[in-house]
Amino acid sequence: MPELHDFIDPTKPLALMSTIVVGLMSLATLAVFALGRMKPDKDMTELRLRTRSWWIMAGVFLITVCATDRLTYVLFALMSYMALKEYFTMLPTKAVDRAALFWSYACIPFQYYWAATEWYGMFIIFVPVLLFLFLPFMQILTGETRRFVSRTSVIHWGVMLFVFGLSHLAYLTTIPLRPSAFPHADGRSLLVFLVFITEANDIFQFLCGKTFGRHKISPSVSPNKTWEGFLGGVVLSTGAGALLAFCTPFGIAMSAACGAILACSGFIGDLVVSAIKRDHGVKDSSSAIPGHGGVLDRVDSLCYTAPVFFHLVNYGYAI
Amino acid sequence: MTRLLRMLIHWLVIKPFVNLGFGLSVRGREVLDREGPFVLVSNHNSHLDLIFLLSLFSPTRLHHIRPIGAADYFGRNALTRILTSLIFNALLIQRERKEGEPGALEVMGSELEAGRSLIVFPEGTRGAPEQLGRIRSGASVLLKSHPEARLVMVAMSGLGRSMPKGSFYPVPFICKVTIEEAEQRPDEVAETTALVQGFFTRVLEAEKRENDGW
Repeated sequence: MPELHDFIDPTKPLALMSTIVVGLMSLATLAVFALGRMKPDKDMTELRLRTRSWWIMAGVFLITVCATDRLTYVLFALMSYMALKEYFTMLPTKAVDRAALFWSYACIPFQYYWAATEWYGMFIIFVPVLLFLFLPFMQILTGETRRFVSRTSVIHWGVMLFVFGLSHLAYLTTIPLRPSAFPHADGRSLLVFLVFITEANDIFQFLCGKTFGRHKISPSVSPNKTWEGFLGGVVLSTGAGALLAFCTPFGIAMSAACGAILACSGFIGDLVVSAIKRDHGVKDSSSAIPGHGGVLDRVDSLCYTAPVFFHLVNYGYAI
Repeated sequence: MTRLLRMLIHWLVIKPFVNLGFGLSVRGREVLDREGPFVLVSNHNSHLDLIFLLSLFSPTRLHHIRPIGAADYFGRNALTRILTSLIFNALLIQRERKEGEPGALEVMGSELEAGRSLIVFPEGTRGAPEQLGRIRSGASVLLKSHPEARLVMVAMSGLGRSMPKGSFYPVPFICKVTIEEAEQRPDEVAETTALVQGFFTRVLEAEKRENDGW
């Protein structure tokens, strides 16, 4: 059972991260509250809903990660499922491809099972090789060849991004780390590090963009993103990486570098998913999360940062 | 006790089934939060329509909401009667008026007068997935005699994408629900029916998905 002093102990990364997250969110909630008082005629419902959703998401995530690994796999599998459902609804998936869509959903428990049992070989080829070969076969069986490449690409790409990509979060939980000078860091603390920096980077970019944003970075894809926002996010994420080095088996310098890498890859992930939404005239993938949009909107950066970070750790620091 | 059981069934089974297994993208949800008894008319294309409609409400309100069903089908034996009453709080109506018993419109009217709301499927029966049938006028007649009841119109689309005709397994998709309230209530029955028909046609045509074409 954790004791009170564990929550400020850097050798107990999960407990300390919980303290940090609760502390930061309390500050943010107070700021929103103060803003509402100072500007009584400003419509605060969107901000309030957003803050409340953050509390729920952070709470569910931290409690699940601290509880058991099994629950963590279920949580991420559910996230993959909801994101994939939003993706397939948003894109013009045809009725003729029902079987391939069904198998796309059905593969989710398998992919997470390979992660849970740490069968790396299967985990790494199941979607990019096996499903890549199998799903078009299911589509061939229908006999429909119109727009074949487009239809099969849409389906496999969704599975790659939202099942294969996000499932790296699950495998990170049990990644076997080499002995290092930081023995208290494990897969779970790395997972919290990854998710915290990815989501914090989104917020940093937004805040920097709002404060100093001037030069648009990709107006046709995402009109709100600016160079100032992006670079501000990179700088702040590098700082955050350094401060959260107690979660990782690398030193402060490498943790800071990871912060920068996560900021860049998260930004690209965000842009890629924005491009999909733009292509289909959609602003929010759904309204599943009050104040934020859909699950897909929330995990878009993670689809890129999770595989990047996992393989970085796997290559450099795992057995 | 029934109320508690019904709330538990909706919270623990029906809401998760609808929101996880499918998903609802709702426009006009604030219409449902307004005060006062209403007659809710909806299109009917699938067995799951009523479950989706009820999941739009907080389970604490369900004892005030009575979906209308045919007594000869849903009340055909004790088990169906118990289930439709427990899970849906259904009001089962005799399709043919019996001697000495109050007619369907009287029964429905007294529910409205008691402050409860009704859910009606004006097409009468389940149509083909994603196709609109002829709108019958029963709800319009009821509304004419109860001008204080609100008319809430709901159009649901997308369930046919999950389970088209002839398929035997569902594929999860998020369904679209559009809710509107008739601000100006026409006096005549025929106009009310036309208003409802116009709503369905307008909303469902707009949502006809391009993915079924090439």
